[in-house]
Amino acid sequence: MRRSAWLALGALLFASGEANAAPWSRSYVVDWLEPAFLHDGPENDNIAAGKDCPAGTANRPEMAKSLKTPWRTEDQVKYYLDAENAADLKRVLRFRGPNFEDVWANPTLAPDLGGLPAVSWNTGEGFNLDGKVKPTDFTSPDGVKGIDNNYYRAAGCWVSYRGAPMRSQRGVGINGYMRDGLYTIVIVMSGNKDPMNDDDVTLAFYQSKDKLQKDANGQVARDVSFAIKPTTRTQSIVKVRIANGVVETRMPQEIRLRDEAWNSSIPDQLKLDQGQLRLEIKEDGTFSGFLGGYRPWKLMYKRQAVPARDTETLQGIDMPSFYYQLERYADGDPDPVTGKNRQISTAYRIRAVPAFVLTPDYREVVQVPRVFDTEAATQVAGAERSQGK
Amino acid sequence: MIGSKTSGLLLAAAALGAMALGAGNVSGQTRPGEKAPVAVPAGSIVGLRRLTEGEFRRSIADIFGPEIKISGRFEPEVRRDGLIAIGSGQAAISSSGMEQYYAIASGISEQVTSATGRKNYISCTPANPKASDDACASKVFSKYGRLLYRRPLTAPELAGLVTTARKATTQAKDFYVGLDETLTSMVASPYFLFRIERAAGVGANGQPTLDDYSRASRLSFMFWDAPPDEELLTAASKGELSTQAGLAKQVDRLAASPRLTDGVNAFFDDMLQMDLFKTQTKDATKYPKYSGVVAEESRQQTLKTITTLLLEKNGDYRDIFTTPDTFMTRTLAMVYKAPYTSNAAWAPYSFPSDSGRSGVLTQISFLSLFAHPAQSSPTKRGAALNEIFFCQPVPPPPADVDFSAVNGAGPDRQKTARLRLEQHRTNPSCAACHKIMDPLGLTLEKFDTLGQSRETEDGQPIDVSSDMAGTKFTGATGLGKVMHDAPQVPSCLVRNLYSTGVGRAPLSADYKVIDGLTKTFVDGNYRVPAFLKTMATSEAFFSAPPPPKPKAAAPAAPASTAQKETRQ
Repeated sequence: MRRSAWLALGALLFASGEANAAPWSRSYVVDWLEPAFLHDGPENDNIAAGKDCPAGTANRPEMAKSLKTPWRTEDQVKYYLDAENAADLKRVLRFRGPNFEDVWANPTLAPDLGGLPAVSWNTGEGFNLDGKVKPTDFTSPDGVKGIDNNYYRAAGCWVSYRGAPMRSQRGVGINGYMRDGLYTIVIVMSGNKDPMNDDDVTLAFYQSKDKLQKDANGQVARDVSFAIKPTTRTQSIVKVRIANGVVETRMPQEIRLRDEAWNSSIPDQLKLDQGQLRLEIKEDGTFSGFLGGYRPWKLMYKRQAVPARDTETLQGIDMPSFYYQLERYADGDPDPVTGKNRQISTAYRIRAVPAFVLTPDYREVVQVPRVFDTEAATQVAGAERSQGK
Repeated sequence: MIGSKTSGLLLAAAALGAMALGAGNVSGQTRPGEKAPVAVPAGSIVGLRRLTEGEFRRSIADIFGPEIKISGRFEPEVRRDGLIAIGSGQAAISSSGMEQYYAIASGISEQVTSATGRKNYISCTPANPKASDDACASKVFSKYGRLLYRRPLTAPELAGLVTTARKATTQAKDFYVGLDETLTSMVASPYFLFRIERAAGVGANGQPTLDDYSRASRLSFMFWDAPPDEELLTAASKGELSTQAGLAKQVDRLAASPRLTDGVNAFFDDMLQMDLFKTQTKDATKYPKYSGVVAEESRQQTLKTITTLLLEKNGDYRDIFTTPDTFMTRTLAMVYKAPYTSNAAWAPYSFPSDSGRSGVLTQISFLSLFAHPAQSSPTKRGAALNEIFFCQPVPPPPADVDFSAVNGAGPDRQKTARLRLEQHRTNPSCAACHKIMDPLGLTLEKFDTLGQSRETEDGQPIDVSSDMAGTKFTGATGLGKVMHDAPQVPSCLVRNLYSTGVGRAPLSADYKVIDGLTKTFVDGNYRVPAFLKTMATSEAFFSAPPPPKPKAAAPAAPASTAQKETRQ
């Protein structure tokens, strides 16, 4: 069936709202992905106190504490704190272990100085990942209890994370890099009933080789074609159901996609263990919603710690202390030997616009999700074509 | 140096004035009621056409090389009787425009005579680079003068240029400064900026006929949108373009060249009024997919569609209204809401049969050019169809027309363009023209102002049925078939090709020629390459209109104070 026919069929079903038994397919490109953090406090003020962070954000660098080492003199500390010596400070900042070690890479060589307050209210977005309702869990703004999102608990008072959805400094910045072409995430959904009501839907996340295109308003353009980058690291196929336009996972499963990032050296895989998703399809053809699951907290630390100069100097986050913070709030995957949790619950806000997703060789539109692990996926596409799909 | 460049500008302006005098130096003596051949001295100027920006750029690229950068603002093109090709025959150069051309020329000559450029473009070396070298300068000016002026320089012209260069060299103590100054004045010269057509005498049809160099330019710009190449200039120098055999040989060569695509592209770019893209805007809030890239690629899409059909496939011209075959880019596919299954910049593409699209009228270029920034316009599209493809001018709306029914907002606004236009047509002064335009334009209403498909407008289903003088048809594909079969369409194309070649709107005498050429086109199964060859080997193609009758001399008036001062 031609792509246009599929779309027309989908549009017809969408318009009529009637259940029907027919193959359908929809594809999208992600135009926003960010940690699902909630902000309270004055609008457009990510520093002031709110119910989420009654002490406000940790926006004042406590460099004097961070710089203090057994081997650094008070005068040396004073020298680096002088604004005129900022360049020198940035150069030596990471080397403050007992034997000059890099404490960003080896945070346990530095003490836990605290400083980053945890989110103290209990309103948060995400999923009930463990099936329990605990006192430490969040309740979503629409009343769902038992939400597990301890990454938000641990990092939600970080100044660059705070802000209204899709308005935080970090969210705008990172999605700006994505929109400028650093990476592209595409999604294909297909089913056999009604695209708005189908209890057996396959949904795939892929990374694309092609850069996003922007429209005249600077937004991600709709209806652009993207070829899949055949890498399973950032690819996954999950089973979902759709009820009245809401896409949900039927059971927890592993979800892998391209992670948000601000440069290409940051680990690229966003792997959610016991992952769940909930996406709401809008009348204009877009969708928005959430992904959630557990992630290794040490990886979360590593993603932040690799380029941490500005994090420490400008945002006041002592990186070793952030490491300890994540360790404190880790809530999943206990180590069978030590009993310490190795993962932390988290959630992401995601939004996407309609797009065309192509096989890695650009020759075919992907109608039904399947694994693309080599450029040679054409052969599969060719077989599908010969079957009249 | 600045003073010298300014004097070059004055030189160019003076040449323009002198040329205008030359153009007026045509005369004819005809007795009342008698149709006699018009006496036109050989060498008289019988046509002037300002180079378009495209012709200018291609000329410089041909003469010096595509690596020469051309930066500056060109005089606005003038469209008359549907074509810039006709308007360029009526276009002048303003004083500020002259300055702009001079600045552009200066930029070009600086590149040519720079330390790097001279190695590629200057074929001789002066004996002393700090002194003048008339022999070397003469060699350079002879070569480039012939290419720039599209004819050999006369001996006095060459001597004048060498003298100019010598003076500038002496002043600057640099041979290449002299070369630069003089080359600038040549590129800014009206002999380059205008295609100057001169008569060789009177042809068998009683009209002035062009000399060989003027013929060479008509041919090369028609076929290649470029100045004559070496072979064509050589043929002109031997008088071969005034013989049928010599002419046919060159026409065959021009038509067989891949550069024919450039000529056909330029012609359709003009005919389809693609220059409007320069000023086109769309409401970014409602149509965020529109961009400069979409504009340029949609222009290229239509031209590629046409040249592939007409030249590569040697297809029937009328099929441009019905062919589903075109070319696509990733960005255009986004607007068409179609998958782009290629990683090449451009890829062949066929619109699906259920897309409602076929032919160039359903491509973004036509649909978006003839529409408002925020809404489609059946009237603009209908008017464009009449003007471009039927050669049927549509008068502008009356000055006191009330557009509120069509463009107004508010609760009384009808939801579809058809309903709004029906309301508008209740005004009798509007109805006459809308009766011609709207039935055609309404069939394209399933495409919005950007050319995107739609089924409804403001929630209402769109009716694309139409009735033109009893012929009923529906939608864009129905319109395409009507256009394909309309007898005015091929005759309009012939009229436009002929006008482009001769550089003027048809005169009454030309219509007989156009009728004859149209028959040739129809009999030749609407094949454009073959038709171009036939047209370009006809006598009429190299004729100029009879010169205007001389006006009776006005009684001498006393010179005004200002005139007296000027003369002093």
